[in-house]
Amino acid sequence: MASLSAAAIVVSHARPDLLEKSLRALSLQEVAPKEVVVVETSQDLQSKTLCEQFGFKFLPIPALDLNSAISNGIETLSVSVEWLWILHDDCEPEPDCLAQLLRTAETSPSVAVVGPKLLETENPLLIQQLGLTVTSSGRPFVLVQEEYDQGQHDRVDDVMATSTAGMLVSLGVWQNLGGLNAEAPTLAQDLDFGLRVRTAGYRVIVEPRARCLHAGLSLKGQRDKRWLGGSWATAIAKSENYLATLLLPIWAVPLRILLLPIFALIYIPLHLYRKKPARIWGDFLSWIWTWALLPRIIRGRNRLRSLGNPGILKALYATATQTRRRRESKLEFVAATSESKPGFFASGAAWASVIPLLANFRWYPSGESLGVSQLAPPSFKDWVAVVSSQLVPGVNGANQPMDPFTWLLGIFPILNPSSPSAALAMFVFLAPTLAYFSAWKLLGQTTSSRLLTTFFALGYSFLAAVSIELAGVHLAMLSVALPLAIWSLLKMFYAETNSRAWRWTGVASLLLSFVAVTSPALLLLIVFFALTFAASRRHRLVSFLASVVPSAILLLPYLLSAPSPLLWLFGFEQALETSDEIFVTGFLLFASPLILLASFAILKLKFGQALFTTAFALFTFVAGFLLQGDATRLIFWLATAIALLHLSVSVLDSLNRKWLGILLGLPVIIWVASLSGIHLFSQNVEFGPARNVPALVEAAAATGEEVRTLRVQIQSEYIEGSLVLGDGEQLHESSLVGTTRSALDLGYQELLSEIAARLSAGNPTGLKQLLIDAKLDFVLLALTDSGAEVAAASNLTTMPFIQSAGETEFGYLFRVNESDPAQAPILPTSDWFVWQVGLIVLFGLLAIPTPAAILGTRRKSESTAGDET
Amino acid sequence: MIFLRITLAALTLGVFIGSLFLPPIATLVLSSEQAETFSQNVEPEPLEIYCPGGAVLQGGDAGTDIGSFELVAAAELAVAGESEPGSLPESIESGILITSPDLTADQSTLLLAGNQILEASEKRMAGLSSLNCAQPANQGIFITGNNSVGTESLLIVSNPQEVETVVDLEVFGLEQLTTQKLVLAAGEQKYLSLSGLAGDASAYGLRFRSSGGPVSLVMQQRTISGLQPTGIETTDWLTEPIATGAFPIVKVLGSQLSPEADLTQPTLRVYNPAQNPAQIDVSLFSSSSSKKVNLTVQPNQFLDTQLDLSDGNWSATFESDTEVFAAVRNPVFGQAADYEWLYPANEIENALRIPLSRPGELHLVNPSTEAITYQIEGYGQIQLGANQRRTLAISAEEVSVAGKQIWAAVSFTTSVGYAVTEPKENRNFGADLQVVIH
Repeated sequence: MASLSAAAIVVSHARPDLLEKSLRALSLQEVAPKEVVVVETSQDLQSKTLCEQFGFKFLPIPALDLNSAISNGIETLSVSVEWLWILHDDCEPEPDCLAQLLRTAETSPSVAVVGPKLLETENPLLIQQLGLTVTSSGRPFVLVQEEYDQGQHDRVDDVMATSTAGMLVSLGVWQNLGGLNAEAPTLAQDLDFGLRVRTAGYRVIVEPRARCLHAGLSLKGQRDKRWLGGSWATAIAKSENYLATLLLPIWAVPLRILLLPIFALIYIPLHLYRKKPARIWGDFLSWIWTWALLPRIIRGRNRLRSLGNPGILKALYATATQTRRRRESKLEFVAATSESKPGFFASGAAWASVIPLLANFRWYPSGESLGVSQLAPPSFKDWVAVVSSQLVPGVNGANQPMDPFTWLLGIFPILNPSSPSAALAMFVFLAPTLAYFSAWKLLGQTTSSRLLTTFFALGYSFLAAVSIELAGVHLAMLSVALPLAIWSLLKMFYAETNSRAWRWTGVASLLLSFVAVTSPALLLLIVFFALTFAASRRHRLVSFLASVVPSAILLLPYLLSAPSPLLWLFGFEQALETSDEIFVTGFLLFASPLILLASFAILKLKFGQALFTTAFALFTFVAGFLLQGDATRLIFWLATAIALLHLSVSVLDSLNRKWLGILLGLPVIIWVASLSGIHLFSQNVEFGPARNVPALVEAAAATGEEVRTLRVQIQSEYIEGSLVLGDGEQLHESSLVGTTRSALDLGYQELLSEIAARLSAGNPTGLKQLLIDAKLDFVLLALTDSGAEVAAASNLTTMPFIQSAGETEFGYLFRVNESDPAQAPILPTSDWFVWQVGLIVLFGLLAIPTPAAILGTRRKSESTAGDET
Repeated sequence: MIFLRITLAALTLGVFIGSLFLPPIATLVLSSEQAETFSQNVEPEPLEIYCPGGAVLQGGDAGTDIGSFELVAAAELAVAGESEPGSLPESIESGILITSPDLTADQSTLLLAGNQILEASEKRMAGLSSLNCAQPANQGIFITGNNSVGTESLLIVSNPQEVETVVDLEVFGLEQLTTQKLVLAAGEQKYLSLSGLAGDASAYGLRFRSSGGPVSLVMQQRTISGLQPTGIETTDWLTEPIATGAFPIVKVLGSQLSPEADLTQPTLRVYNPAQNPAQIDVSLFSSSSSKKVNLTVQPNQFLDTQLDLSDGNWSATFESDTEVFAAVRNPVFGQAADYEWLYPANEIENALRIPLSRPGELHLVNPSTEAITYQIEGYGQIQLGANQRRTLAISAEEVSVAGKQIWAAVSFTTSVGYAVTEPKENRNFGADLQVVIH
């Protein structure tokens, strides 16, 4: 039995449920404190009743300051004691806790502070804390954390500090040192006190035999944020700045403080990579706090330094080995993940991708591009010029807003710098196979049946192939990106840990960007439904909103510059010269098995799930039907098909009667067979050269000057003329807005019409000057069925100011002698560009998988404070 | 709850199916088409026509002199619009380029038109043939090739320009394409036997393209039965395939007299240059009867169909679901056996002038769906209803027809044979050009 006496001060804040347990544990102590004072820092007076019930003194202090609460508690003590036992309302000391602490204090006169072993209230086998220290950078460091208590740490040990929860402190030392420093950040106060105790020459130790259950409400963010002075991330960053200022040599202090904003910026990628985006905000707030309250921090430093040189405490800092072990320990054991199902390759589903590959083999690029009539993606140089300016260069300086889809076209010159067209052709060939993979991942979330997933994903890949035939590269991109985007959103919403959620936020943000730049209208629809969905997963709302940020920043300049909302929503329509007759008449026919199954889903599945997905299917279907834009319909109905597939798979998966499954699955088999039939017997893709202008024009365009070619086509009833700029129209110029690149003023159009007329008629009068005025470099007489261009070309050969450049696959080419070349337009760099690239890179970092994000072991640490320290 | 589910399920089906009947609330016809149409009047190139000249006999008198070509029949020339009346010869042996002296007037056959007729009465060549003097062209197509037994085809290639040119020839319709390149100096005329290029094929075509200036090509054919010459024929080229067409005159004569159908019955030849089969509906009508024929022509194939018509002046119209080339081989068993390859009449707007060196018959047909009134100078006004035809005997030196749309041909019948001229519009690009700038 210890001979020392102690009084207990319990600091409570509006949690009478926990306080009751704490007081009960206090009342059961083998060595009872001489007096117990409960200091209530909230307006909640239920704790008063509890105090009366246990016979403890009650002291209401309406302040969040822990030091004030304790100091006021000390003042109300009516007995004389040597030691003070500080407890929080979420502490439940074991009956012998105080006895053990006092016994230890008694055996060592130099000890001023003794801390207990703090155990998790929810799992008393887990050690929550066994003393505190700091890293060399000043970051708080918990010495033992999240380890199963197997007695491995059961030895009395010197530490830098202990938590105030359960701390036994010499009342004299406490009073001499002035207690806790209320000006220090909350999470640094116990360390600050420990440092002062140590610097003053006393010992701080932990007594593992004294055990105390601790809920750790503050550190888990379950307390009022005002108590921490902000979020957890902010609080820890403030503590680090404060403690570093205390411990660093004087010459290093100003340097560190001045560099804080730089550090905050530098650490952004790291925090994103580690899936801790909240820390970015914490770093910035902490920097502002440090600069704003510098005198207060300096006072804290002086207060410590007045007691001695804390440099002697370096032996107690967390060692490099300890910090490394801490990092490794987080990945030592793999928590059970929800993904116990075999994946795409392990399940053998990858073999089935041979089917779309073979079905699509006739699309295998046999030429450099998708035919003469198809447009090529831009070169890397052109792409960078356009996206960095957000403008498509126009004639005579009439630049036009860039189609956001241009962002995606950068993929092709990056994949194949020498021939982006070849990369595009290969992508179109692979797109149905990639769509199969994409749908497989999404449908895999619905059912554990690999057979169902594979079969329906194959159906989707054929649907994608048919859509691509109708609408080209936009649909190729979308058919791959859309299921993956929805899949990644679901992964984000259902992520068990924050790290995972942020990782999927990164992935979803990039995939949603794909959808957004292809179809802003579809993005809006997805956002609307996702927000509705987020109502049931509110804790992921921020993650979802973050995932839309890259899409928003990519679309915003377009939104601000597009001449009308319709253009903004459906701006790429013009690019898709497609007849969607097959879809219009055929969709219902071919989708009827899915529609039937979807209707059945409402009867069979969970009501909310069925209603939500059916609503999405109906909404996209009706919207696509009512808005008769060719590509819009295809795009919206692709989304409809995904929703119907999900419902169909869910229904078939939920059936427990095999015969019913076969009966319902039969129409689906017919559906898949029909789609494959349409795909296999539809028109083949043509391949051609990568250029869409004659080689000579392309070579001239590569010199950097703005090369202008007048393309003239002599029809039987009229003459068509069009201005071809540079190396010809490319995909990024083909959208509704993009086509305005060739938007010419009326005067220039009339000039071109006169030139076209004179060229066609073979009349050279005044033609030379007209060609110079129009700054034309080339004339191309396009091929026609009637061959009228042959006669015109024959006439042109007699004109001295025009030089024949031969017959090309595009027609007869002539070079204008003495042309007055137009200056290549200089595109200004857009202010948006840096932000757009910056955000894409940052979200890309977020999307990079890390062991923590994949294995999910952060789950344990995320939910506890210890992870952060 | 189950009722709610059933209702919603039914509603889902209903909306999907019902939306089929919904009117669109917004049709996103977001055309960014910036095209503007401009009307431009440009002074056209001077109007020039080329009359290719007389008939050529290959192989000398006996036909054994390989490689020799001999002009055996001069062509009578009839030109309207020449620089000075009488400045041109009445007959020509080799080709002649005729230029309109008026550089500013609107170009049409009213400004300049020409026609030539040649009559051969040789031991190995006899018959009558006429040809419209057309504007030289850079490219064209013949589908009348025939090298079967008793038929000889040769090509008369003329370069009326002042610079040399290279003419690429391509014979198609055989098992494989055969090609030849001809280099022609300025003003040069060359003859080429087609047996070397097409063997003994009974139906083939020929494409030509000049890489220099425009040229003139004539395919001359003669037939012989035993030792008896049975006709001579000259055709120029077609320019492009058509989906509808009309033959103003298909003459059938002596169908009851000759036991050999190919001496009296016209044969329709169709070449389908497309990649898909062509379905063709042919209507034949005379003043007293009519007939319909339906044909299917496979891609890249020729099809010859005997028309089996009774004696009389017929017209033929056709409508095809695919653009095709068509011609009619029209044998006439009159005072002498002769034949003519007919092309669909060119649709000529507003006015047509045809100079004649001898009396003939003007044939007009109206394949359109509405009646058209024609004013024929010196012959008064006539009206033709839809699918009606009319033949007028012309004795004047030229005939002028005015009408909204004109499909016409002129035929000549003499004791040595039968010939038909199919006039073309003579116009260069320039006046009232519609230019669409994108």
